[in-house]
Amino acid sequence: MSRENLELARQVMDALSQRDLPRLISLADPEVEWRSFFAIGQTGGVYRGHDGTRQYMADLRDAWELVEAEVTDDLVVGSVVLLVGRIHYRGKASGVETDTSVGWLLRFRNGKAVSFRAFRDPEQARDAVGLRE
Amino acid sequence: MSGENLELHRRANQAFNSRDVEAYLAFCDPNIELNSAVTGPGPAVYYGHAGVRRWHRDLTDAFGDDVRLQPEAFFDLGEHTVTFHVLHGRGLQSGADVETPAAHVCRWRGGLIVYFKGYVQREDALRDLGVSEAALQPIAP
Repeated sequence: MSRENLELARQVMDALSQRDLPRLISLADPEVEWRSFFAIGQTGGVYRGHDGTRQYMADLRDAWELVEAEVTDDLVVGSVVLLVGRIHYRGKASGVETDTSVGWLLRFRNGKAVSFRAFRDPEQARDAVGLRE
Repeated sequence: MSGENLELHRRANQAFNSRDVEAYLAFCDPNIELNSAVTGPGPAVYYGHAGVRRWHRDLTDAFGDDVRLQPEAFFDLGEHTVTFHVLHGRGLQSGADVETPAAHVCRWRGGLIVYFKGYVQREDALRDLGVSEAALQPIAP
């Protein structure tokens, strides 16, 4: 199960980078909660359910020309997947490209993502699951 | 234009220190992209005026109502302006006074900030702009 969840997490990250809404919805539980790296839109970066997933993609599309996630490390503990890597993004208004480290925490249930949370500092993601070294 | 941007940056800092978010928004493009370095475990990048309001709330949550910037030097790079400053606040959990050297980079268009990035390592701000402190003339606050 752990290996399956890691593969699912990587698929979620890829779907986010590709802005592939149908694939993202297929990977997500109807009660999924997204807590984005970006405070965008009216929800401040928190989105719930499939409608929230659609809004998340729309808000990303409106604000950013490019958002790409690169995963460099991972750890799976049962239903929880911790990913560490970098995020590369370019704002539509600013045109500035930015690259920064980030951590992601994903939780799965019955093969679907039920929660996704991005952290500015990978250590925060480790802290969230009690894994600080 | 570059001198204008520097003056705008000064005034934006004054608005920040007044904790008047609406006054601060007067300096922000509606599609501003604000990359924060020091707020808590919330989002890292704030977008638009709603994002700036959220950033102010998150800063207050992290550093208290009296969070303020003490400018030490400005740098004028035309389209970009940079400030070196000390962030003063109070850790809400620890109650301890916080004094953190930091830097802000602003990119201006039409008199408004379209890109903002905060740094806790000042040299990183200049490195991102491809300049060195030795090559720049610091401008007193």
